[in-house]
Amino acid sequence: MTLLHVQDLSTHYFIREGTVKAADDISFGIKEREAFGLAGESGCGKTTVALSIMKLLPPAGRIIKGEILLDEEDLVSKKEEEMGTVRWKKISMVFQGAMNALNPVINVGEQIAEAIITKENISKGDAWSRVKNLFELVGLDPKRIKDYPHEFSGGMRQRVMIAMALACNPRLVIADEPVTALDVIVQGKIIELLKELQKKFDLSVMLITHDLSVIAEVCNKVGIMYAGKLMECADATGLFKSPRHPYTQRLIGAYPSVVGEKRRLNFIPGVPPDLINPPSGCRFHPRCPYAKKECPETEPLYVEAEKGRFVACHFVDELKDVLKQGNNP
Amino acid sequence: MTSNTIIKVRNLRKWFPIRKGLLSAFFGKEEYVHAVDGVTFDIIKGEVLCLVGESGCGKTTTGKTIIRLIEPTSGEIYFEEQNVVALGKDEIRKLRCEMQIIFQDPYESLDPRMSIYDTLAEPLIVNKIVSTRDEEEARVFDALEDVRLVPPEQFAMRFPHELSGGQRQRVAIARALILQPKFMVADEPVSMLDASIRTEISNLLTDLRDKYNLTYLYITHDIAQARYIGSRIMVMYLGKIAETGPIENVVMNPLHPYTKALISNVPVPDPTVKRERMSILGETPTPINVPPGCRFHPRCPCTKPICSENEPKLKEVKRDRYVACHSVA
Repeated sequence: MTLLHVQDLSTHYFIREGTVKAADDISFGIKEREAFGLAGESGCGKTTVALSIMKLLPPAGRIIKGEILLDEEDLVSKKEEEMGTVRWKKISMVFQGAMNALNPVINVGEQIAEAIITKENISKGDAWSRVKNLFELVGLDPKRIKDYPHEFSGGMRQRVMIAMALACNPRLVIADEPVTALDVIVQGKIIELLKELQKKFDLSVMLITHDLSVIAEVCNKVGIMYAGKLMECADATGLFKSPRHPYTQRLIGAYPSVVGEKRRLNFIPGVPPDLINPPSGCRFHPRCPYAKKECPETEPLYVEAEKGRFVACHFVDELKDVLKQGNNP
Repeated sequence: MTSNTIIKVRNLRKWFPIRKGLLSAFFGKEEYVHAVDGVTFDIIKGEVLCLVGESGCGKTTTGKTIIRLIEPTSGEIYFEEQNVVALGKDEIRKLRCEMQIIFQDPYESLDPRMSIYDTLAEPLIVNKIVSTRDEEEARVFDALEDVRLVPPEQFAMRFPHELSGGQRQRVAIARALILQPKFMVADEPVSMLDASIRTEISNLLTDLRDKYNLTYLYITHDIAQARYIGSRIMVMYLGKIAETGPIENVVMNPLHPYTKALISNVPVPDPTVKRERMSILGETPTPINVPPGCRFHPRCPCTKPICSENEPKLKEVKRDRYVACHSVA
C-alpha cells in the first residue's frame, strides 16, 4: 500500500535575485515498509522535497503546486496547527547535520523526553522510560541518558538523532544525509542500524543522500534528481544495473567501488545549472551526450517507460540499448 | 636509499602539547596528542601513494610535516638527498618550489580578494622565477590550460567567488603546479566535491602526473576513490601505519584486521552485491591516551595476550606487503 504519494509537487524559493525553481513537477510514491532513496548532486533539490513534505520550508520557500498525500490525506492544504499532529507522529526527519544541532547545555535524554512530552500527552516518568528504551534500541548505553552532547562521538550523536526521530512511533522517517560526515566504520554501523530498525518497526524510510553507494546498500527504490527535476525513478536493482536516463547512467559511472573490476571513471562535463534560469526543455540537455534538437525545445514528460519505472527523457526508447553498454560515448 | 626514492621518512613523530590550566601546568605531567607516532616509509618517484585512515588518525599531520608546514617533534625526512628537517627558513622556501600541497577546501584555500591571475602569479614573483611580465603571463596561462580552465584569458581575470567548487580546486592545483614541483601532497582534494566533479578532478590529477612525471602523496578517507587514483596504499590508525602495499592487492585482500574492517564497511554502489560487514568494537580512542601494545587491540576481533604488551612492528609478510600485526605472519 502506498503510504506517501507526491504528485506534481513544485516548490520554489522567492529571493531577491529571482525565483529559484528548486523542485519542479516531482511525483513519486513510497509504499509501506519501503526504503526510498532520493539521490542527486548538491543543490538539485533533494532537501527541498523533504522539507516540503514536512512543511518546514524556510520563509522564502513556497509549495506552488502539487499534492502530498499521506494515507490519502493531503498535507499541502493543512494548516500549521494541523501539521503538529503529523510531524514526528506520522513523519519524522533526521535533519542533515542535526547531530551537531543538539542543545549543548541540556542533556540528551531531556531533549528527547521534551520532544515526546510536547507531542504526546504523557507524564514525565513515562517519557523518560521511553527514552531509555529508545537508547537501547539505537545501541546506546541507557546509563548515558543524562550525558551531554559533547560527551558523545559523532556516530553516537547520530544515534541520538535517530532515537529522537523514532520517539513518537512514526510511520515514515526521512533521513537527510544521515551518514555523510561520519567515518567509514561508524557509517557502516549507522547503515546497519537504519536497516535493522526499518525491519523491526515496519517503517517506511526516505533516504536523501548524494552518495549512491549508501542508497545501494539501504534502499529498494531510487529516485534520481537533477536540477530540481526527477529524472528517473525505479527499483534499486534495475536502476543500478540498467539505467534508462543518460544522467543516471553518467552519475553511476562516476562512482568508484572497492569491488569488481577497476575501470576509468567517467564524469559529466560542465556544471549543474543555475535554478533561477534553468535551461529550456530538458534541464540536462546542455550536459547530455545524447542531446538532439528536441531536447532544448520541449520538456520531456515523466512517463512510465517500463512497469514501475518512470523516466523523463525524449529518447528513452531509442537509448535503451545504448545506455546498457556503459561508458559510451 | 635507492635512486628512485623521492621521499624518505624515518621514525617521524609529531606530538602536540595540550594546553592546560595553570595549576596542572605546575603539578601535572605534560600531556600530548600523539598525532603521528613513529612512522617510517618511502615514496617512490612517479607513484601515487594513498594515505588513508579515519579522521584523527594523523594522515594530514603526516602530509603537512613532510613539507614542513608543521615542525616534526622528532624523526627524519629526506627529499631526494636533502634532509628536510635540518633546513633553515630560506632553504625551505627554495625546497617548496619542488614540494607543493593542495588543500581540502577550495573555498578556504584561495584568497577571495585576489584575482585568479594574481593568485597564480604570486608564487612566481615571491620565488623570483620570472623576470618579465610576458614570461609571467605565459606561465600563468599555461598553468590554467594545464588544469583545463580554458580560455585562460577569461579565467585569469575572475575572482574565486565567480567559480564553482570544482573550478576553484583546479585553480588550487594550478597554483601548486606553477612552480613545476616534483612532489605534491594532495590533502583530500576532492572530498568537498560532488561525485561527478570528484572524478573529473582525480582524472585531471592522474593526467598531470603522467604529463609532468609527478609524485603524489594522496591523503583521503575514501578507499574506493583511492583505488582509482593510487598505486600504493598506506593505512594509518592512531598515528601509526597499520598496513601498506600495492593498492589493488590490499583492497582485494586486506591483511591487517583494521584494514579488513575499513574495506568491508565501504558502501558499494551496486545493490546486487551483498557483503558481510566486519563490525569492530567501540570507536577510535583519542590519541592522547594511546592503548599500550598494539593500538588497535582493544577493538580488534583477533586480539591475543601479546597484543596488549608488545607493539607489533611493520614487517614484510608477503612480497611488497607490510603489516603491523602479531596475528599476521
